[in-house]
Amino acid sequence: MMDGKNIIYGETAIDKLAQQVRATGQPQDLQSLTERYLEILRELVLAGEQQA
Amino acid sequence: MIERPTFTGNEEQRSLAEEIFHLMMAQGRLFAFDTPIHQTLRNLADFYARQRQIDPDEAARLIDEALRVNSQVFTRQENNGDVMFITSRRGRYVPPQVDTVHTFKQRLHEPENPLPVDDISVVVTTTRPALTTVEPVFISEYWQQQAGLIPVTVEAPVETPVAAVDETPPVEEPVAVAPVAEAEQITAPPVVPPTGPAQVNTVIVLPNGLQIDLRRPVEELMAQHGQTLMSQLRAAIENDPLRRLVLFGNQAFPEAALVSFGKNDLRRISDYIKEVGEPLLDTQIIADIFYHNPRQSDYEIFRFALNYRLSREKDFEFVGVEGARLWSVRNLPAIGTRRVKASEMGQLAGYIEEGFDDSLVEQSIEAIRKTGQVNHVLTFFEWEYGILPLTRALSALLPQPLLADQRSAVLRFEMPQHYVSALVELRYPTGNRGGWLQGLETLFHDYLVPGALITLMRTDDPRMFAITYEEQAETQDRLLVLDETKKTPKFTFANISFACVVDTDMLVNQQQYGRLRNLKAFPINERRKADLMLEHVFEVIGTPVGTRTEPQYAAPFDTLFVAMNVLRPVSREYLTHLLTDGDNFTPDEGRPGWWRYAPPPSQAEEEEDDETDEEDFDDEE
Repeated sequence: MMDGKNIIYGETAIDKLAQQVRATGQPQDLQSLTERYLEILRELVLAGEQQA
Repeated sequence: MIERPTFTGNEEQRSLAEEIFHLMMAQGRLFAFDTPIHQTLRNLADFYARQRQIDPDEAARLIDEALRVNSQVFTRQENNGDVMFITSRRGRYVPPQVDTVHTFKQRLHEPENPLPVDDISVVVTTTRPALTTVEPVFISEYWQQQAGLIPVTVEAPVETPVAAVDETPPVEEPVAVAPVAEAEQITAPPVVPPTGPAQVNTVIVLPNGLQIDLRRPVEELMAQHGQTLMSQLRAAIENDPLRRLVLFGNQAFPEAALVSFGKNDLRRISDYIKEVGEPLLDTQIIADIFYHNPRQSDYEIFRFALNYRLSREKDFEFVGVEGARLWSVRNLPAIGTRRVKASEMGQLAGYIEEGFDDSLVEQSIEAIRKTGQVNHVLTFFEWEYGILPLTRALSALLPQPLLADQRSAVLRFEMPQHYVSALVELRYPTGNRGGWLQGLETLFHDYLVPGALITLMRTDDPRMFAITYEEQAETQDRLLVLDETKKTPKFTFANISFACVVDTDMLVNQQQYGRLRNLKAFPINERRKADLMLEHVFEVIGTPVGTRTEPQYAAPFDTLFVAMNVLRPVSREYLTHLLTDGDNFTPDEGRPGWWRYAPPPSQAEEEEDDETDEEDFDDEE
């Protein structure tokens, strides 16, 4: 879980995004890439809340 | 300092104890004062029995008795039946005692009993840094829990209350200020039952300052801030020094997973494009050089890799559009006329970037995008050089650059009425230089005339466009042409047949615009001075209305517009700007829509010496 203030948009969890894109086996367009990235960031900040 | 101990017991025991003490001192003479010196009873008895020639058991008994009496000097320990005596150079043995009341280890690793902190803000900063980029501040979990930034890990059945945190939390938790000794006695905060999920800070700040609450659904965020989110992510990916993800156009993929192309591959691609003589599609390059089949599972990745690698090579230039990725190389034959250099044309079309574009007066951008076509009346300049300035109307029809630094795109324009087509280069505007289309010279000269009403249309192929016109019965007229067969190019009129519908006002024929034969065919680089061109046009096509000493020329706006577009492209709005902004141009008050030009005195005197071409007036008559 991560605090929103500690997230740097475009830097935090980019490795995870790259892994996901690679796993798809297809180049991803920027819109779906952004949506994927937002999902990853959402999971990061909301994970703790869901656990609680 | 060595203390000399006092021995007790009878004389024999005192003597024996002192002898053994000296013996052990000799054993530990290099020890520290407090370091214990150990010796077993058996060793002492063996030594003493050998020295005194007595029974070892008897010796052991005597020694044990003597040292027991002097227990203040010798500490006796029994371990598994073995007796051991311990002393030190200080003359007594003091068992070591470890002070565990206050240790550094406790302060660092046992947060259950933390030292009091007067103000938690010393540890957890609540102020934003002055820099726009938010640097991560690594704070231990314990202090984050204390500040309420993260929920406390709960040990059943007791749950520590967690304070709700705002987006800008002025975090001040009550912290015990009691001394260390009392810290353990502080009662835990009152236990409250959990009231629901802990609140966490879900707001992130984008580099441009936009705040995004990740609690909202992704679809909602994309609908509201989609463009910003995408552009910020694009910028971050492009600036990532590790290139974990790389972009080509609107697509992204990890660079580490891309196929690499060697110099030999690049040379083969370059040679192939040169051999064909025109830009090639990426799919064609893949099929003809690498024999890669679109049915292969990695085809799209291979295609992305090819495009990405070529985009990083300076010898290759991307000239494609979305849906048709074309690649060109240096030294390919130029598309379109060489009579107008790119730098000159950029300046001639600069008026569009300056805001004097009126191409959307009759057609809106929405209508163009919806219908996929633009109507246009050809001017002489456009017809002569096969060039169309990239007006906003044309921009709405034609594809936008796929790459940020893309200079041009190569399109194909066909004339379905004649089954002919031509390669056309679309030059995108840069800075204050306008964009344009070039390469339409042959199509225009073969089938159209200045003043022709044409329609430019999109097709299903993203790089294919169509030019159509309305046909009419073949007509012959004396039209203006630029004669470049002689050393000095000259405008003249020639008989030309055409079968297209024209705007008769824009048809540059001898009957309407006979005087234009006296236009000077300025070099293109001089034509960028629009005000000077307008003065020349006035002098050629205007009606002299002044006196010999104060000459003046009058001309209707529409005629000026046609004549100006012989020398260079101008819009009606730009021409209006030139007329209203010029010091020597004034509206003709007597005739609405007419303008007058009064040359400056010095210029007028020079012109008096020039001979007037009387034929011009004959043509007008």
